[in-house]
Amino acid sequence: MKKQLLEYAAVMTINRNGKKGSRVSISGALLIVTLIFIGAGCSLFAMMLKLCEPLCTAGYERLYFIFGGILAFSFGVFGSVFAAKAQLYDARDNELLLSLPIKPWLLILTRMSGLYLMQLLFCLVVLLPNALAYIIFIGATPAFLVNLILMLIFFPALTLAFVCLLARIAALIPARGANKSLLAAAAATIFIILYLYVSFNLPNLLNSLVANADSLSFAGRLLFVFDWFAGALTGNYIDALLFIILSVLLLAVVTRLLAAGFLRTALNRNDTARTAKPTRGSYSRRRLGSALFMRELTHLINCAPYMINCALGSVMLLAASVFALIKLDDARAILEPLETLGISPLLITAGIIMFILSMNLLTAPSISLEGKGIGQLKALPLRAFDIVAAKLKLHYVITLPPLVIGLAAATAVLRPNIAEASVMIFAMISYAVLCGLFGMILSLKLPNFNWVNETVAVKQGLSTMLAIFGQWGLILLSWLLYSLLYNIAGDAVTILILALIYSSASAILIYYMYKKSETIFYQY
Amino acid sequence: MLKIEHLTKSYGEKKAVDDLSLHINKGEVCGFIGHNGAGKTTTIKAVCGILPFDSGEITIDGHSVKAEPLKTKSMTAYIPDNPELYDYMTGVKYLNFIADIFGMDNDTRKNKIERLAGRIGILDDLSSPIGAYSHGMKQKLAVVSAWMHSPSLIIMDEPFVGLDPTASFTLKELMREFCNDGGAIFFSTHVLEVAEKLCDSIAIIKGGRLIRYGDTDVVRGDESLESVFLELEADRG
Repeated sequence: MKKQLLEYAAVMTINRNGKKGSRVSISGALLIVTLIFIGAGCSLFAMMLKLCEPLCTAGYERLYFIFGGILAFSFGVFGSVFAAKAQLYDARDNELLLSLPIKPWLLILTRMSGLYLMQLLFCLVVLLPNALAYIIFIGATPAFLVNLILMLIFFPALTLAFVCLLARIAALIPARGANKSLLAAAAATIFIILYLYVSFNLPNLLNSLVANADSLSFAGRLLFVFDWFAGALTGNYIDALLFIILSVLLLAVVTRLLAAGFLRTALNRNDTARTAKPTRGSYSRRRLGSALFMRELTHLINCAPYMINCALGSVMLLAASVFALIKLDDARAILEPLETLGISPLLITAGIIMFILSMNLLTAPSISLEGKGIGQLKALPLRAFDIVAAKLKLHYVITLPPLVIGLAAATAVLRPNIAEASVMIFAMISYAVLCGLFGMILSLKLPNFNWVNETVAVKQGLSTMLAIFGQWGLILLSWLLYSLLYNIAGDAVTILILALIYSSASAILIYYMYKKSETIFYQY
Repeated sequence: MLKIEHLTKSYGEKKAVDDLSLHINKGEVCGFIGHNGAGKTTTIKAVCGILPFDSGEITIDGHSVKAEPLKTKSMTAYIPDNPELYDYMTGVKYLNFIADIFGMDNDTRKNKIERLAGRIGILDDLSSPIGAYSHGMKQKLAVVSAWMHSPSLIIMDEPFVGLDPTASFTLKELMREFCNDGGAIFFSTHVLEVAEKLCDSIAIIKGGRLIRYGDTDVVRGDESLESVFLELEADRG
């Protein structure tokens, strides 16, 4: 347990050289994580406020908490299956620890402790706003408060059981590397499309929820786990007890199940081995740039965490484009009235596209993902710039085609004139180029080669976090600049100026990388 | 072929390599031995151009590792003690990748890969992902990748670890043939019997300093290399 806790602490406190980070960097990392969760919590709180009053004043308090429970469950389970699989089955020290006199169930339990903390955070983000909104409109009885604390402790145990079960299923899928990763990416894509559909239709869905509270309430009670959870929060101690017993039982059963097959699942890496000589077609010469690019692409399609977490923007952009084209009139109905309010639809669309693009982070963890193999890469006769160029090419190959489709969809929706369309396209493409370069610089300057699984390198690296926030900061700065210049220069010219700023910044970053990448790379 | 002149490298206050000088000629197999933490891997990494060093000069066939890194790396092959190959690639894809970096044409790479992989016993596994390989198989793959592009200098860090007896024997044959053809090999090992039989020269490092260097027969004298090594370790306490 101590080793596990040290590992979690090391993610935040150990820098790329394996030494303890400074107080400033540790505090900064903690602050960033805290802000992310607070941000998510605030947006959920706004949604809960909208839902709580009509449902609870009409007597559908259980339905309100069932909704919160289902949301917390979805958030917790679907957001962390692959992290759980990586933590339980792909950790590099599994073999070492299993060779020691440590029972597998104890190892699983300690690894699950970290996953429990993750589930607790996810549940708090949903359930606290859910409870706070209730307290504001209805108030808090002592029974409510006691049961709330109990639910906050045991609800994550329930989601943890399901997460670990799904992780076990994912680990058992007997597919070769690329197929398994593509399956995972496809599953994530379906989830994203569902998420987009819900987000886009949220007001209608919430209104439907309120309007059909009666029948939904009955349906909700069929999901007895969530009904017990809801009952607990309405002050029913029996429901609370039933929920706690079920959560603990489920968790115990899942832990036992995981322990039973852990050795076989965690240590069996040879399900993809094949005995066959390479065929004549296996030998194909590529130019250096192409060889380096194919290496990056092969890595991406064989690494589910990399694909799902860093190419999300492309998937969302494609999904949003298709959605916008299918629901052309609805999209226009939302955007076109903004002009009467003095808000440029072009600006809003650009902002949406830029926000979606900020979810493409292929370059940010790319150097970290080299891991301990960085030494061998450095021993090859390669210029650092060639290696970096291949990583940038991957980012652009994955990002730019969906962006072009997104821009085509935006043009179909907004029907801009040629000048507006041209500057919009120029600005968005130059922004996408800049984001790739920005992530690459961060990756070069802040790599982390000390990870036990690739999920850590992708999701928990400082370069990744700074890339996300840096891009959001750039979106904010762009909006501020637009606000300052719009009245003077007009829509098209202002966007053109922004495009030129992005292009100039990109040119500076390319020059910097060309001059400095060699020195930085070979100092690792 | 390889000239290391007054190499010094420190990690903070600790000198990992202290004023080390070493010359290896073409056709020579040089064994580099020393206790754990003596500075072997640091020296090897500096020679490969992976690790920057504080002072000194390293040249490979007259070209400086610092000033002409691409040139020296194109003449060199490096096999680390624990090859971190790309788990997401198959063996043959990895070898193709290395062949692309060194600009090998299709026929040459096919012939060399099949000959070397067949010889070392990994040909039938080249279609499998490297993630499914054992340590020994990765080591064999690393050997094939090092030999196939015909370098002038091969640098290896404990190459026999994890190899089965047949592969170890094959590797020793390959090393001897490579040097007979004019190449040079610089490798570290803890297996002193192998060093004694295989190496033309031996360099013994302790605490970052070279304490004995010369022809194997001269370094060994009338004793075994193991006895000499243990005496030197005890002397310097």
